[in-house]
Amino acid sequence: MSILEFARGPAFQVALVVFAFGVCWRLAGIFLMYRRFDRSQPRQHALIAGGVRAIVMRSLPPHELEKKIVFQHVSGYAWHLAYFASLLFFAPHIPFFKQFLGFGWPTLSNTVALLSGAVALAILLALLWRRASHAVLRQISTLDDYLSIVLSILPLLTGFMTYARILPLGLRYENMLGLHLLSICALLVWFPFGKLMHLFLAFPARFQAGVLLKRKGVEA
Amino acid sequence: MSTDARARLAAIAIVAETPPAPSVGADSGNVPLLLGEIRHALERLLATGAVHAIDLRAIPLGPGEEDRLLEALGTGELCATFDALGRSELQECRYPGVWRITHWNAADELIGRFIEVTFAPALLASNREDIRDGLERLSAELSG
Amino acid sequence: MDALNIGGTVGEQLRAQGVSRRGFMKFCATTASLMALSPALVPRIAEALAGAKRPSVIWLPFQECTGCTESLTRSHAPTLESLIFGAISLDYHETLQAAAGHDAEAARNRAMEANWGEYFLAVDGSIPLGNKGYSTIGGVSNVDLLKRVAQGAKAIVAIGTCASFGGLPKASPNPTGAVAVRDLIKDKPIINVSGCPPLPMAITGVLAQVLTFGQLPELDHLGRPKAFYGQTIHDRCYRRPFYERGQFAESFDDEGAKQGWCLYKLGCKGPVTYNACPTMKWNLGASFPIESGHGCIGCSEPDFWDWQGVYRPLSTTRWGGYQTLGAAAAVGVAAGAVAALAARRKQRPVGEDEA
Repeated sequence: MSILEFARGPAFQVALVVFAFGVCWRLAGIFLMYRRFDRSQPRQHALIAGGVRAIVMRSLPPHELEKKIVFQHVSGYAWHLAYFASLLFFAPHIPFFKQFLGFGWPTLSNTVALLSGAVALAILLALLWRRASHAVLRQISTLDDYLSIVLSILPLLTGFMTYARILPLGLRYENMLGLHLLSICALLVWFPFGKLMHLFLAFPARFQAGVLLKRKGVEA
Repeated sequence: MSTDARARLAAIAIVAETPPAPSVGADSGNVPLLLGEIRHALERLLATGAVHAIDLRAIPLGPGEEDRLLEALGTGELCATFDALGRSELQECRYPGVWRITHWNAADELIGRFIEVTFAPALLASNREDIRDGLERLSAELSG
Repeated sequence: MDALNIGGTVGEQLRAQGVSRRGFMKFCATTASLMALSPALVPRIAEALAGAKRPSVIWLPFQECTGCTESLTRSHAPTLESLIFGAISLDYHETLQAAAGHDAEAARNRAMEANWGEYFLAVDGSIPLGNKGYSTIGGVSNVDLLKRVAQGAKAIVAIGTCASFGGLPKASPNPTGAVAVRDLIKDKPIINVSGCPPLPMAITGVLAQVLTFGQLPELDHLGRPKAFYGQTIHDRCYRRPFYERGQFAESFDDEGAKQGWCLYKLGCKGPVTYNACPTMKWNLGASFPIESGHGCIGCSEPDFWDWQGVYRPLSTTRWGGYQTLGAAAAVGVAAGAVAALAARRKQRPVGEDEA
């Protein structure tokens, strides 16, 4: 079986099964735990609004630090937006999503999608380098941090190399495409077990915090 | 097939549609490029006498593009045909020095299409071997 | 078909048939085009062909559908007749020869003996190993015949995807145990001219190339001549501008399809298929599948029958289906519930209160 057929076949099936199992395991494991029950009277009502407010407020940099963390903040948003723009709106990806969802959507032109991907890749590589070289970050970074960023970069990198026919080591197009799909399988397999789960957990966590704080009457 | 089935088959309405003209982008864009190549070849022919040949079958042309190219080249004064392993035609185009060479096989199937930029295509001239053979035959005729 | 015309050059043979030098030059020009060589090389080809010795070719049909022979007989340049009578000595071909039965076998054996070590073996069809009796010629199994005839061959040309890679018979579940020529013969050079069927002119072009240069053509990683299989369909497709611009046909009868847009979303395997269809085309250069509105199915690639679906775009995958993922998710939820339960025990008890 060629790399491409393996990637499009058994590898993807296994990766998706692991992804589905892992995500559900973690989400169930988190949401089925006790939440702290507060017997006091809530200081404020409209708790849901409080949750939503927390989501918004925590998406912005904290006021005290905003000048100091401009780079991380802006680059973080920039690469997330650029990454998902190229992932979701690049034409060859639509049939991929359509097979699960049953529907597709309009696409960006190839030039825009590729430019967007290039921006995301550049920022990610810069952030990876920063993490490995910055005095403090180097000390506090874990395997999870490195693995998550590397596995996020690989699909983008291999996707570029496939499309632009950058084929090192005598690799052929179809094998490069196979590597692109395999890198996505690797990302899917790792996803539920590391910090990438913030895709599902970030907003519920902020919401929960907002609700608790609103109860206590904290303006945050 | 039973008459009933045949009747049902005949009842299917068939609508002939005129397909829309292929969109502008159906071109591979090769026609103007080929004409440009021919122009450069003509310049080189005049300057150095260098001959240039283009095999039209080696170039991916979209539907109708080959016809457009040949139309653009047009026909000139001279047309020569010969018959060897099938018919062949050497047609000078409306730009002198540009020749359209078409080969068919013995079953009248198209087997080659070339554009040659030259003073005279090599296939026009008589070959030494053929001349020698003919000379032998003529000599035999005259002496016999 | 002269089984015993050993020796004699191609040039001499054509001359003997009354072909003038001019005709011979035309033959060379069209043969060069066939081999995807520049017209500038024609004089060299003429020189080489004129002096090339006519090789003997033995064609063995194995587990095949005869489509490759059908394709060859549609080859229009050089014509099959000119190829047979002029360029090669096709000493054995079941479909095309007049002899039959014992006479045919005897003719083949004589040709083999007379040309031992020098003849070319052309094979079409896969070779079944599951049971030797699945496919036989004159009572001899394919695998035995192949091994015997291959011994005296100078080189083997595997014609069609079946002979090159196993083809349709090898597709899952491969009931006959079909294998390709290269799986059985390891000590002779093999040229794979794959395709289902191969382009007619690829078949004759390879034979012409061997004749002209007296050596095997440059081969790719799968043993296919680079002259015909060096580029993918996608690389030479005239619809490529539509791919680049993101204009795709979404179904077979929509506006995009009528406008001749790219067929990627309808499953075209052009990007991963190596063949010369967009330039050489089919049916005397009339068209090729994509030009006629259907995506490439990848017929010159190994195991293409087992690729997942002719109409599934390259960017789709097998994903197991909703049931499998649902089951995985359910197991995940169960595992999560167990984990949560274990965690709850450790959490500060809150009496009758629960989350």
